[in-house]
Amino acid sequence: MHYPEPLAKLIDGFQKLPGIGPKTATRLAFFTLKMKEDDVRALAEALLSVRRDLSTCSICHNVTDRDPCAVCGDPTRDRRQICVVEEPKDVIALERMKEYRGLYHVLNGVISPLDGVGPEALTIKSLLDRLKDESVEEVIIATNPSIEGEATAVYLSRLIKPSGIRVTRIAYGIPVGGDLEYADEVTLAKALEGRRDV
Amino acid sequence: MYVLHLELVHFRNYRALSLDLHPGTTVFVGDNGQGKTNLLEAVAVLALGKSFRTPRDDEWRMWGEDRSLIRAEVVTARGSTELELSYDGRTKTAKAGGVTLERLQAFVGRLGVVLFVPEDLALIGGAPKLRRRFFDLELAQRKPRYLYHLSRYNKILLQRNRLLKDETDAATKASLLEAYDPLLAESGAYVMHERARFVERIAPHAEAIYGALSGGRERLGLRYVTAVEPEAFAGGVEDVEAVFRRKLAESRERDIIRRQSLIGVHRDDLLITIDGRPAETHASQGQRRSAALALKLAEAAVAREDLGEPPVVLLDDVLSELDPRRQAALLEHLDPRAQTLITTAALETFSSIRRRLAVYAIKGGAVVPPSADFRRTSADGRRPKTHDEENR
Repeated sequence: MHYPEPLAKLIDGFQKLPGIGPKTATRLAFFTLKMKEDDVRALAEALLSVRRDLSTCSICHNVTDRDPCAVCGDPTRDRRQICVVEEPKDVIALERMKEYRGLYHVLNGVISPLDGVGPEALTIKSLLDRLKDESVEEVIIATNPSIEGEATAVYLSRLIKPSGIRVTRIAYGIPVGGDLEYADEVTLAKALEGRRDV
Repeated sequence: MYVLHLELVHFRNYRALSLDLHPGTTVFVGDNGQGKTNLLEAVAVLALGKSFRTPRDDEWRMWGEDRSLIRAEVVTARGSTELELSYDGRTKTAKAGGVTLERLQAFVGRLGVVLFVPEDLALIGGAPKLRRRFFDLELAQRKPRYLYHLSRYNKILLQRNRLLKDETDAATKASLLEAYDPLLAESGAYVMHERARFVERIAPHAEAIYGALSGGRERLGLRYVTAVEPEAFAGGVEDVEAVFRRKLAESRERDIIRRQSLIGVHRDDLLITIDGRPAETHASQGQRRSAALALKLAEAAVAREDLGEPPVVLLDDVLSELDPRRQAALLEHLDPRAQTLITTAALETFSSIRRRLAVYAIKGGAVVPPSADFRRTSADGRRPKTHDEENR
């Protein structure tokens, strides 16, 4: 026996989301059947709204509901620093720390020939344009410590350095609150490489 | 160091196995396709984090089953510990002493093994890949950083080679290569530096063992061949990195034309000479086998130095490939205190062995308990004593 058409459609829809297979999709669809109508409507509205009302900031390319975004439009932010990240969710992570007062630039990915992503597919050109106009003194590269993230960092630093702007890379090593005893040897070695005077 | 108890669940043709092992020498005998090599493979996977037979973990998970598991109680000079590795079709989970480890790299090398497979006898004259595997098998077990840099190097190389094949414009290609090459040089230099030191360390052992095998008439020589000249290795790893970076820059134009990375540790080799002449072209079949044996035994000796105790020796169908003289030499040079697990299709091969053996028969993914010293059993027909009883 087949699922009734509307249910089958919903299951297919859920399955398109990352990390959701046929079993979970079916469970979610049946759960939806039992939900209050108001909740279902709110969920459907929310789904539509992210597509309809969100766009990307024309300056930093972060996801936003207004242009320029809340960070770029905030006159109290420090315009001398730009932190370069891979994805919008990285901005959220950095903002949660409430320490950084500079601006951001979202690359929307990393360079990866294996995935067919070259520099032109990212927002690198727009970053270079920003560096011309604004009073930027430092670019902090906060791409992930993966091969792709590191290669993108090296590529960017080579592009930016000739302009005289300071380029820095976030440090990595032992997590705060972590125990040295439980750190693996590679992480320890990286932490030791990045040691500082106290 | 030895494996006291081995448990397999859904590993190759073993649905469920629970096996006690002796600290001494154990022979697994059985026809082809019954699961002898699978047993040694399971022990090796526990030591190396991956199989020596295949890069695909799905191959050792029993077909149609969700999860494959290897668990062993390992006794080392520092005490006993439980090691466990499972694979669910997506990720491998490693546990040591019941604690889940975040990185597989932190698991590799907790159980030390030296592995002999028939392919090793082609170490001289065979593909350079075999000789690179010879480096990696030992170094990856001993040094987590080696494994990290080697796999990092390979990932960078994949991206770099893809970039070289892409139809990207020349300027972008050149500037992207400038981004990949410092990363490639960093990890490559570490790998080169460790391989050079390894060759330096095994050389005296290999020379001595080969000398004994040839009755002192011939001299074995080893030389590590890589993109960087031997002089660079006199300094530290930074010197090697600087030279490798320069070499990469020099090779860039040719790399672009040929659309592949022409230099680096993926092209490394080990040059083996006998009396100064390359063994690959100038040695007889017998000389090559002796040289291969000397290399593997030297590896075992270095492993023992590093571990401070003998590693577990896995001999997969190797003895039957050797004549009695080389068989005896192999077993003589292996530490008799090392736990040695041997597979064979024919027990008669062991006529030359003067060790006490525990013999297990293997049939269709099941192990028939030991019959201790097989020759003794056949001679007087009494119930054979197990290894432990003999040692008491």
